[in-house]
Amino acid sequence: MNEKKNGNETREGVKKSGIPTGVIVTVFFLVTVTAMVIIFFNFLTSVEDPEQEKLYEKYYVMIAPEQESSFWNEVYESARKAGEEKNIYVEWLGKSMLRRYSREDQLRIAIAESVDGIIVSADESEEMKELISLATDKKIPVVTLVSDCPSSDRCSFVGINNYNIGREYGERIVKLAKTKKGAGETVKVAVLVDSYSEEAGQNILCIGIQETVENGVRLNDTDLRKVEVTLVPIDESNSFSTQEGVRELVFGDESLVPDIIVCLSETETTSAYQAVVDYNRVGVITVLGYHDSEAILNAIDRNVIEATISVDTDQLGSSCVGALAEFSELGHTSQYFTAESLMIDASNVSEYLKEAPNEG
Amino acid sequence: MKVKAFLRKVSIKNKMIGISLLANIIILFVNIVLMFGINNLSDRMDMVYKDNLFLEELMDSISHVQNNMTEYLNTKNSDVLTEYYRSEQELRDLLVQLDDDISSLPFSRMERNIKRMCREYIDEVNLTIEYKRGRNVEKYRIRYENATRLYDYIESAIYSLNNEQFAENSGNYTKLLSAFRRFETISNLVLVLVIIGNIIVVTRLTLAVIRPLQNLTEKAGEVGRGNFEIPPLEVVNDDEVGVVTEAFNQMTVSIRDYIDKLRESSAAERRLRENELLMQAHLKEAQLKYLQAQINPHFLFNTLNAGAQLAMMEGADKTNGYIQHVANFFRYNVKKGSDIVTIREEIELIDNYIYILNVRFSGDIRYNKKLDESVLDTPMPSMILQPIVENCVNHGIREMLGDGCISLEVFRIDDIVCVSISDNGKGLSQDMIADILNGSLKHDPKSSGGGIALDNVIARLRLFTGESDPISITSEGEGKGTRFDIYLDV
Repeated sequence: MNEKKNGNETREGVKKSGIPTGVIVTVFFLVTVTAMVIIFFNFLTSVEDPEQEKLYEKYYVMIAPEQESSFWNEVYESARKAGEEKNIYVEWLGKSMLRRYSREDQLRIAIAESVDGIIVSADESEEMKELISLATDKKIPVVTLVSDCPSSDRCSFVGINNYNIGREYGERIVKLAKTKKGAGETVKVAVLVDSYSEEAGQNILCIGIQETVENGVRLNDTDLRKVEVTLVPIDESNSFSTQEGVRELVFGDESLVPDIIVCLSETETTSAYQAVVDYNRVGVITVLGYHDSEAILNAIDRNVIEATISVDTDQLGSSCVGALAEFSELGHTSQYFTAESLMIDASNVSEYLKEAPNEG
Repeated sequence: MKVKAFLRKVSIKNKMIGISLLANIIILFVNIVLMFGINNLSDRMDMVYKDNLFLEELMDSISHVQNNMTEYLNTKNSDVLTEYYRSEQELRDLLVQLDDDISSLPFSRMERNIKRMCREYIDEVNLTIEYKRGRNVEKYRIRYENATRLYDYIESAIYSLNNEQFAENSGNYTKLLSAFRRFETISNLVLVLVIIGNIIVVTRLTLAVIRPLQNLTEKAGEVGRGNFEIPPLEVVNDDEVGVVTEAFNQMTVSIRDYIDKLRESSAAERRLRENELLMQAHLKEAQLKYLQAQINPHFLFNTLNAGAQLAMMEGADKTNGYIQHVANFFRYNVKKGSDIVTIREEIELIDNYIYILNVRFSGDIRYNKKLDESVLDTPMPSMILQPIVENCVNHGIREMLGDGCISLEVFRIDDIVCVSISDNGKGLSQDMIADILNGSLKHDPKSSGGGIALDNVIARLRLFTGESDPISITSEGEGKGTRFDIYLDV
């Protein structure tokens, strides 16, 4: 600063400078300091983990069989959202573990973790029953989801009206039978069922199909076509066996290849769809699917899949959490919650296609 | 601008210290920030694997419990039991460190689950041990199975958490590493920039301090080469340079004054010497002219004295008087030739001269004197009045045949003595007067008879009085005479 007068006012022999040194020094100093501070904080924040921790009051776990299916993903997502509103964290147990445990093991783990509530896609096995009782003993309420274990101590069942779904499938099969074969011929219908499932829901659904088909054919069909409904067991215990089983059915023995395939899970549906396309049986084999994932809806749009059953997954997820919360609050809750279901085919698929990205 | 005023008073030493301090403080600051960043980073790098190490420890601890339990069940050894209790306590201690919150962060949740499972496991193991001690074979076998299953779950869960953490930490580590690299690059860049900036700032500051000194050096060099005509340097700061600059300014002013005085006095001296020389030259010229005219005054004087004695012996009184006068006239020249004389002596010479002329021209010239006796001892150069009178006689009244008259007057006006010689001759024109006064009148040496010229008289008078007009010549015009006035200091 002292240099300013000097620089500007000395009369001769001195190089005159435009900007006074004092200003340069100050500016330089300030720039250095601010640059360093900015760099430092920028650096600190770049390393800082931006994720904010949120603490919850309660902890529910969901035990579901298929981690890859969008159906279960949607159900979990709606349960998680419903939990979020009540300050409850809902965890999909199988997803957070590296090792794949059976449903029973997962139940044991959940019990050992002393969670506040369990949502489980159960079956009617003895072990399941015992485990649910064990959980109830430890004051952990259990809600069964989609597939029930009615004889256990579960506090509630959230499911789908399987008999109704079976009837819807049956009606569709009757309608299709007319277009498929001529009079006197046999229309072969294969219903893919989980070979290891001990759950009743699937059986009820099959009964629904069978009854409707029998009645429908008897009442409506004057040409007396025969509709033969067979249950094809598919091993769904692991991800690959489903795919293999479906392929075998489509590409196997010519005499056994069905005219109509009824799938009862999302994985089966996508497998059947893929097999029909791969072996060029589009139009020959009609696929009736389950669930409304985007891939399935697109397939309906392209007429590869005839129709699918859409279940209100939002309702399923939120009902589970609602039931558990109600039970832990009041000590009782409604024994049954039923989610609505709907048949989607080429006539109304466009509505769902628009919605699909939002749902998934 | 108090700061400015303050900075002006700071000495160069302190300024230099300030500059180097400033530069070093900036570098130090930058370094501290960089070091802090690096430390922070390395701390974080250490933290990355801390959690993994802890889980490892936890797993070891659980294994101990499991192994001790199994061994006890096998051997029922009390040492093993003690060991079991120790390891169980160890496990409990470790569990305290685990989170127990239902958190949105998966790690934290997994920790909670592991903690809960471990507690369950410990309870189960304790029951197993209890049943074993109570020899309840059936129950301890079931409990053992449960415990082992739980052990399996826990192991798997820890493995999951460890894996997840490792994956996350590896991601963090990569992030940290890239941040570190970025930080390194930036800090190197910043350091280079800061050093460059520092150099500029230090250079400028130093120049600012040094500049007045350079200025001073430059001016001192100029003064050294003899140029004193430089404007005074501005005193910018009150530091050492300021003091020296001030002294330098005073010095140049003093030198300039001194030189002026010296120059003045030498000029005066020169003028004085010139005067003296001129005076001597004019005197010598007058003497030379006189000697040329009179040949040898001593010889003449002695000769005339001899003639006077001869005339006295023969009784010729008039001749004797005449020769006496002539002798006196020449004696004056011999005696007073080189001296300053009094007006009286000069008048005596005139008296003699007029007497001689009257004898020569048989009393043709009338001579009137009017003298102020009090001023007759005033000094004046010799041989002044006679040439004037001679001039009056030769050019004014010689042809007037008895009517010529010369008047001599000495009087005083204040501090001035005026010697006035006037004739009633034919007078001078104004041009001639001007020519005489500025010395440009060329007189004819033949007609003047070799007497001392008026220009010599005027020049000597000027030298003596130091005035430019020690004499005035006035003439009323043709035939009305001429008047010479000589002015002398009392």
